[in-house]
Amino acid sequence: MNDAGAATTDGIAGATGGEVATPDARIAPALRWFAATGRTPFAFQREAWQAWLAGESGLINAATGSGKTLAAWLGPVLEGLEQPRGSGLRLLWITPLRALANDLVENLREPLRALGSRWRVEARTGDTASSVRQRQRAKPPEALVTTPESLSVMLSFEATQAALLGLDGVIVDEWHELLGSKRGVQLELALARLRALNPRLRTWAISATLPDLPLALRALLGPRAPGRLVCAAEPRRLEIRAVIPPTLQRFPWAGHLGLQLLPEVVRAMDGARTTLLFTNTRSQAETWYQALLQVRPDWLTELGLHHGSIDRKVRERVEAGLRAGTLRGVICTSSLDLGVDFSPVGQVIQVGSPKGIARLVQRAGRSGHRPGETSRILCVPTHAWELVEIAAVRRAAAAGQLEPRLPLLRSLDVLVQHCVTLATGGGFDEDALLEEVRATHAFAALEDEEWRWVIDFITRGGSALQGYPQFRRVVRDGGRLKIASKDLARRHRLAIGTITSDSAMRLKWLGGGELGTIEESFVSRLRPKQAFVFAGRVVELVRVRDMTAYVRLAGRRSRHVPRWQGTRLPLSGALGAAVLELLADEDAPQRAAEPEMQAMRPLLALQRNWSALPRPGRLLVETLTSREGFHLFVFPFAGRVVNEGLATLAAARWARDSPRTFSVSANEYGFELLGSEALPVDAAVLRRLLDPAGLREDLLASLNVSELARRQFRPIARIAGLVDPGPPRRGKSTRALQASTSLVYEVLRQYDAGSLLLAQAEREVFESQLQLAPLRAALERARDSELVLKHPGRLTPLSFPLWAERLQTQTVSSETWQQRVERAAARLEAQAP
Amino acid sequence: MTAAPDGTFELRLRDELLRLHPDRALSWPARRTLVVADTHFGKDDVFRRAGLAIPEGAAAEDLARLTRLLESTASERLVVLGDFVHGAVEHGDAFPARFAQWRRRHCELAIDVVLGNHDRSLRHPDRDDWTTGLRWHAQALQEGRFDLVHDGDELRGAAPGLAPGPDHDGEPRFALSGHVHPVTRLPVPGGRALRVPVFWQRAAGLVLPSFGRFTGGQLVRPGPDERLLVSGPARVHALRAT
Repeated sequence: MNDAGAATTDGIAGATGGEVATPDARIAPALRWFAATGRTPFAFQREAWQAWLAGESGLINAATGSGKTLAAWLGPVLEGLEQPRGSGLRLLWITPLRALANDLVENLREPLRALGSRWRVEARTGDTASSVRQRQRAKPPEALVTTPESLSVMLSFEATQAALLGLDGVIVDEWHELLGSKRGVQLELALARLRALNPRLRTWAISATLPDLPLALRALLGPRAPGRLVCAAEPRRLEIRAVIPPTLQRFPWAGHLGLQLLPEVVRAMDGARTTLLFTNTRSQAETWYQALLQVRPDWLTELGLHHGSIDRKVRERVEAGLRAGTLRGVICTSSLDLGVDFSPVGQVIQVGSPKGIARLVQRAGRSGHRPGETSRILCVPTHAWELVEIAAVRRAAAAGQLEPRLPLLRSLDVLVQHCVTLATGGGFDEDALLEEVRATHAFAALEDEEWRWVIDFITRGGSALQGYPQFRRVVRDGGRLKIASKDLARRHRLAIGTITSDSAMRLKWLGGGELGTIEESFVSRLRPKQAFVFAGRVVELVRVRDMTAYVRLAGRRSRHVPRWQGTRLPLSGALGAAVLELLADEDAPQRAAEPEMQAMRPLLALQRNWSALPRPGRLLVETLTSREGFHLFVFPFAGRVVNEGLATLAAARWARDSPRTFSVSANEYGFELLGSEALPVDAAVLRRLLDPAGLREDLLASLNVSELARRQFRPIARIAGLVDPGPPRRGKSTRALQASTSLVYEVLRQYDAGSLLLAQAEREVFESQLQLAPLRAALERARDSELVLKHPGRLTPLSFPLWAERLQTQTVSSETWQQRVERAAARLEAQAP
Repeated sequence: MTAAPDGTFELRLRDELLRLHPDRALSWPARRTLVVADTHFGKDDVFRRAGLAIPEGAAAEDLARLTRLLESTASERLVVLGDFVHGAVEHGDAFPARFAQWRRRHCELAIDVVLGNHDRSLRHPDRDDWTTGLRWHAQALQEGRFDLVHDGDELRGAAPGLAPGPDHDGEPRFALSGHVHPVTRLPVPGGRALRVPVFWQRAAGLVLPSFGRFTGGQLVRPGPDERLLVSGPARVHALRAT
């Protein structure tokens, strides 16, 4: 047992009641089964089983493939053996991805027979047929695998709520994936409801390593309940390697390298068991899939493509192929980050920046997932600086430095949805529910006025000061708040899934047949007859109707690869810091020994000779006057989102002195301000531009915050039920209820500006879009740093990618862009020693 | 075809002077007539009844805007090009009372409504108390060489943008219509494009922007020989052909 686990176990002993067996005797069936199969349980598994049997709640921290599933599962199964019951639901197993549910059911069923358990395990998700659901209602299985959304839907039926009364416990899988998202908040509320139904309910979660595990535990159980942390003693062995290109461009730019390393990737795939090749974007996955097939047409039947937009059935086929070991490789995105392990996976390849430490560790964990095996990941950089990122991840992972996941607080849209869910599921008592809600981590600090507003919002549309005549959604019925009509109940259940779904459109063949889903925002940029690549095929848009985009095979090749939203994941702050640490070593007597850094050395030497190397405590700034104008490059290494914020802020502050305009661009490492005329830059000017004081005020003044809030409002309006859930499943009868969220936003701002949902949109803009806290931290770091101001007279290896990327967004045809960038790189190369 | 100091935009069409207003309306001075399209009155009522919490207020503002337009143009007649209401009107809705009150202050005003697709949810538009004095037209209103109609494409049949049959003197007639809710995107330096309501001038017709504040829009792309005129906020602005 470890230290963290020992801290919080008091006070819940004996909850199972009347048991006299010694701890070891109670887990004996599991021990016998392990022995019979030639295995020994890990200490953390025994600890978890015993803690469950003792009636405790807690969190199991273990990596994928370390035996975490058995650690969580066998406790309830053993108890089921001790205390068989006639029938009824006893355990919920919550998974973040509904695509995983069926695999999980298989996995959980495996040990039952060997242990002599007669439990039934079934899945219930949005995909479950209604006939199966009906059977599950009539004769519930002992264990049900489900998603946070489906759990909420269950709470919206009075009869199902009654069935949940008999639960022994809930196990939340991949809790780290839910933490920090609104789905996590949704689950916190649902768990609070289950605990209110049954105060002795045990709640367990399984989580990958997070920097603040006690916080993850509090978010699971609420701040007041005690719980145990169970940690797998031994971290997995991890091997991170990079494909080092034979020649390294000293003037690298984003996206150029990748496919050049195709031969190396083909070689690696040739020599391995099944390979998972991860890319950062779906469009990159499409590109790699096509490129691989071009050089190895013989792999046509052995390669799979798997990303979130591909139809479920196709994805399931790919997953089945992975399990069976019949596939040579699968090109995928984060869609395969989670989930049940595919034993045959022998190798993981990551194309492009790892983006984050935890993310790469997680992906590496998809290979060699048997206990004791080493996880291996091969990283393919798409530009030279990513080599440094790869080396930095290796160091940070070895030191256990991971990105934090902060649970969300006071998401009123989710609370509104939850209240309506309970109103639909038989109604609730206002005061009792407030107490229940405040027992969660997310709403522990919920103010009385906020609660008042939530109740007003669902019962009369908004605060009492505004007019909402004829509004009806939730009504008072003998002291309880209940949904006003069956139709509203039906529509609300449709809306419960909206926390996950972006506005996804179905993608179908014109002649019938589904291809998958695709973001509306992407389709809206296409014109009919325009071709794009989807699921490895070149298709062209025919028409869009009723939230469905119809396509047919395109005759010609397309260079237009779909670029979807949400795929530009920014570099994490922790990784940016790790990169800086590594660069510091280049100036130290003991230079970094990593092969990636050795390959980078000529590039880094050039950067040092022409300018300087940044490092922690040293902020590098470069200026340059060119035919384009005056460039200011700043390198805080804070990740793209924060760098963008810094750039906007600096540009606005500079423009305040005297009217001037800048074009602003940013990448993972730094940002560029481009003005038309040369400006005097010295330390005093820079200090003022990057002053942490007045950050919020200056951002408010410089950004169109209401425009940003309008966009942020979109999911809020969906979750809180301000727009009709509408298509895809509903017919045209509800067309009269269609309104865009931005229209609703305008109307609310105009006629009920006090709506707390508007305030929430603005708060979310600052917190998640502008990342106010990391932004402030970056400014404070800059304030405390030595400023190194250089005038190199030309682009440097650090500023070149920024320049090239801005050019790309400005130039229309990508061919002329490539030519211009190549010319510029050749010119610089000729100047370099 | 010129911009006037009050922000309106004058169009000469079929020998008539029409004036486009930044408040999404058109006036026809010779006939002392104000034309608007797609008011979608009572849309917020429909939403609230369905449990969608839309605050009241849009209808009051729309009516106040109508008052201002009627007064500034000294119009004696209002023509609504369809979709006067958004959906069925029920007892207790906020809009009918508000409208009746507004009507009392404009009792001299003649109001012609061309029926739009949304108006079909009114069972007996001519028998309801609150609609007393409104003249409903199931067909296009023919006025001089203009057809006042809800859906201009429907008038012309299957071929949108084509001219309807020629007038008695051989020149094609011209349609004033609504239904489309045309909007366009205006690029904003350093920000996301702004969606703005437009008048859509075509070869044989002019599509008006939707009048109601709580109405959405549909992006339109002008074809050759067509143009867009942005309505508002302060003036009507003709966009250069793309």
